[in-house]
Amino acid sequence: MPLVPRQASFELPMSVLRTHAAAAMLGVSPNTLRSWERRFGYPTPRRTAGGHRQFDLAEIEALRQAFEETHNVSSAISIARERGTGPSSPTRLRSALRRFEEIEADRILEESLAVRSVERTVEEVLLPGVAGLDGPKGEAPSAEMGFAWRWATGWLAAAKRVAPAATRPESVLIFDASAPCDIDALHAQALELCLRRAGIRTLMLTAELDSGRLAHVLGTLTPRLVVMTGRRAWLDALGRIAYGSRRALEHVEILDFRGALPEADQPAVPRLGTSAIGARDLLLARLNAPDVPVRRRSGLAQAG
Amino acid sequence: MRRLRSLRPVEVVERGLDVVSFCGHCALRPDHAADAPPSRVCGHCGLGLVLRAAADVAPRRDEPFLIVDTTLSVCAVSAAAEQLLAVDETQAVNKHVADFLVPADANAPGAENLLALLVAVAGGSGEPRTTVVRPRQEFGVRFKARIGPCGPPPAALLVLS
Repeated sequence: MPLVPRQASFELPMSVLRTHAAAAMLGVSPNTLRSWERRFGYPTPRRTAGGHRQFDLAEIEALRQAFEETHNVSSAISIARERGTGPSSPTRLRSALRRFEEIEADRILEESLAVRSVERTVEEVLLPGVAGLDGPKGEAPSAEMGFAWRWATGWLAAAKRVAPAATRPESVLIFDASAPCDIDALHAQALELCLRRAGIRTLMLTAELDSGRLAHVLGTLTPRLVVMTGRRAWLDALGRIAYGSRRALEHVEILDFRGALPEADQPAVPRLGTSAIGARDLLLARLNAPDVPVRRRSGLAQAG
Repeated sequence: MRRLRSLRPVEVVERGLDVVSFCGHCALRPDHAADAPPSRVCGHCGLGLVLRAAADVAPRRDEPFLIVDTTLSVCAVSAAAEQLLAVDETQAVNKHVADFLVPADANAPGAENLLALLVAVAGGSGEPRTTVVRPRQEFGVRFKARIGPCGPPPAALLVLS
């Protein structure tokens, strides 16, 4: 039984303007707006699948306000860039990452931590900020996205290192089938971080393990829950994980995070949705269900 | 028959002169259509904001100029001033004006104190003045500078000729 309905899109809602509307709001021509983007790197529109620009309404409003306070366009852009939508925001983070400003990106997240928890900072600032640099599917990641992805991975890894020790006996095993520079990989790391901070012993591995290593991992960790995420694995690899888990462990539950498994009318694997915080809460609810100990199945030789 | 739609109100400073608009980057005076709202951004170069100053202070198209606020920070550098002073506007903005221009002869008797003049004009003391300045690192090169109020927001306009 599915826990949440599968969503067709993983984009977060935001107020956006097309180029002509944004230009009209600023009292300039669309060409002028595009020239600012090229010359100053601001505003920082996202691109639709068709290549059309989508400008953040908050950025355009910040720029319009800054025009009243300065005497030239470049100063107005500096002011608008600093303000964004508040003390810290995906817009400001995206702007910093687009300029390869690592120190400024760190500072934006530090500001966010003053008003948000670690989990909400990741979900409301880091992930949407980096996702804003993601290009259309099928295209190679840009230099900015590569930089942002590596920076975000480093930040999440540092946060994971200072997470508290596990306080529960159960463990969760995450199999990640995403590739470097996939936004799904960051979501998987975010889920791992949320679970560790909740005191759950969590380990994340690649989904491309062979059967022998898979059996060894399952036998050693005896996870209560197995989560599959990422969309780069072949179906047989996912099937191997599901089959291997159920074969090796009694009562283990297998769940899907962010659409790792193909859609089906009656999905056999419960879905955890697209949010790391939401997935953590669902997993905690599963763990808090009446105690069903996970045991290795007896009499099974390790698969080769 | 007179076309009333061609009439529009004109700002006049206390000295009885017109206030004119000009671009803070290219110095072009925008040609506002009577029924179109004036744009804050110059429609010609797209890099400057439209400012206003008295007609006797506002720069002509070929005159280099800077905009300086009450803290003596450079707020804008025209395209002609970028070439004259060999500086990019983005590098000059928020720097002290004395990093670029100094009085031509600070020791001359009666020489205007350039910085005090800029602060007074930027702060609203409306009388335009003229003085002589030179680029900071150069001697023997002098420019006559006329200084007057401009805005918005209020600042001092320093036009070199």
